[in-house]
Amino acid sequence: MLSDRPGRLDHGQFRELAPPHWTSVLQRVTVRMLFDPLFARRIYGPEGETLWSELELPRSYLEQIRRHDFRVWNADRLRRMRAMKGLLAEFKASSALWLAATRSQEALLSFFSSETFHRAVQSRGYLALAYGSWLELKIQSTAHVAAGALPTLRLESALALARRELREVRSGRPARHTKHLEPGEVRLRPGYRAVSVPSGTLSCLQAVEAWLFEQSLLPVMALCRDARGLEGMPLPGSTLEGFLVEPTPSLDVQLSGIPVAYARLGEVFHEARTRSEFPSIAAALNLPEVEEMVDSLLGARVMEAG
Amino acid sequence: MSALVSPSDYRDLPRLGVGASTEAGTRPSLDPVAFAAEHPGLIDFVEYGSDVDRGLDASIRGWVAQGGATTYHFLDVNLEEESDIDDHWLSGTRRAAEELGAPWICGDSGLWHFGPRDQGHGLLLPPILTRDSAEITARGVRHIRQQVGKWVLPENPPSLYFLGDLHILDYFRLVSELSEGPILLDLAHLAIFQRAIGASPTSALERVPFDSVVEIHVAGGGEVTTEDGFSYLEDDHRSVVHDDVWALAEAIIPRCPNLKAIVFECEHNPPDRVVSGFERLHRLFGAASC
Repeated sequence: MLSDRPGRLDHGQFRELAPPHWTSVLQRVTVRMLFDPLFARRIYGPEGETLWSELELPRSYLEQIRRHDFRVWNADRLRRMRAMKGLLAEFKASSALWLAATRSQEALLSFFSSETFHRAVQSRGYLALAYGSWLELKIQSTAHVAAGALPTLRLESALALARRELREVRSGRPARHTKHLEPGEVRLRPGYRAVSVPSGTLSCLQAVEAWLFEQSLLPVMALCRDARGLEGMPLPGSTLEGFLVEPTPSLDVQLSGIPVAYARLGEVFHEARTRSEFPSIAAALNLPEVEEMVDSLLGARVMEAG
Repeated sequence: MSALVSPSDYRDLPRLGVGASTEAGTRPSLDPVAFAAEHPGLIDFVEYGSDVDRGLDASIRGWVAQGGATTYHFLDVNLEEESDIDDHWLSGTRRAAEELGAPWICGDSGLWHFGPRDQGHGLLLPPILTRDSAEITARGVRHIRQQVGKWVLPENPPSLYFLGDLHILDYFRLVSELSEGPILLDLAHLAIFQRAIGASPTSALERVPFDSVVEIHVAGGGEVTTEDGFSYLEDDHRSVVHDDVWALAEAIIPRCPNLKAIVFECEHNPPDRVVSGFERLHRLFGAASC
């Protein structure tokens, strides 16, 4: 059974507000079968009965599915590659640094067989955020991954999260921001994310992106033994650098450098905080001027108050 | 916005004739202005496929600027999922349809994406063929019609599998009845459905809701066999139309009294390869009494 735990990036703020109609539940099962041949095989096998009862769907649909030729589910063998192309567009640098260590296409595509993927589909989650969560665990559990991979992923994840916040607001589903702010509560506005990472992380991300661009000019060079690899990418330093992700007029997001103190403070205010919490935040961050910093961020409309 | 259309007047929609499909920013794609200049009288209108994110491209703007008739085919809303029809989509679609001067909008029923409308989620899934699903779709169609102020033609989608207890034509008859509106019948998709249930292409003609069909799609396609030996009819919009689809066209087009438009979906082919298809459709539509 799928756990009810949201992905690490998606802290539940994008969950459905109402239980899905049974037709949507069934549609999501077929999506999982179309992307994951292993799951499709489980549905056709003895385990299918148990899986079906957990979904609380009429049993007749399990029989209907099984009446189809099993090969239907994997007839489009490029489906996973196309979906992965979309995901990598936002996580290209961290994925490249991880793949440089694994060198395995199957490892990458195993995302579609992961519990993270299945949970995201069945609960109407964002696939990009699910992928970011999955990749974080993969980077942490893979040997010899470049030191810049995790901090790079944090930057890419902040951008991906901010895009989804904006998307939800545009669609009239403001997610975590549906919660009314109480008087005295403060938080970052939708589409704004603060992130502090080791110095050199942005340089690393840009260097990997430049390398990927070069690869795209002559993809066949990937076959050459003397092709330039990802070795020599900038390494993260021992100090921190701060960034603010903010919306652009074209409804995308952009990354700007900000003082580290503001980035660390902003990270705390992704969730609503009350002014009574300011002293403990100041102590935890060793930032005595929290009150003044918050007021300046409110003035700049990066934050909002109840 | 209040409803700008009433259930009775879709029969009075303008007859557009035979048109070509194009898709936002996709290359290679048929350039309607150049095609119409090279082959006068062959395309009467263009059906422009897009989504709110991509909007209108230069090619379709050029066609509209010179007075070309256009319909709008959405590629990004789940008619079977009411929560997907949000304000952002409605306003973007209304804007696109108005800029095009489209007399109606259309698009495949079921799901255009799973989960949120977002990168990586695109996957055209057929509706679950039940009354429950038809009711949801009909409510969605009515809601969009009221908000966009134009007729909405739900289209039977392609798929290699179908779930539910209704024939796809019965499903769309039900959607038409419940929404009190017209439909778009894609004959290539119908041929694929008939193949999927192991029936001959024309064995379900008595199920077609002829009065409700305002637009018909005809597309090229052919037999495909996967590496593991599974064979199916592929709807890849190639220039050659499968015999099953022509058989459906010959049988259905003359019997649709409210048919206003036929689209030949052939946008990725060299123009000289699709001329004969357009000519055949003109002959069929011209001979029809609608």
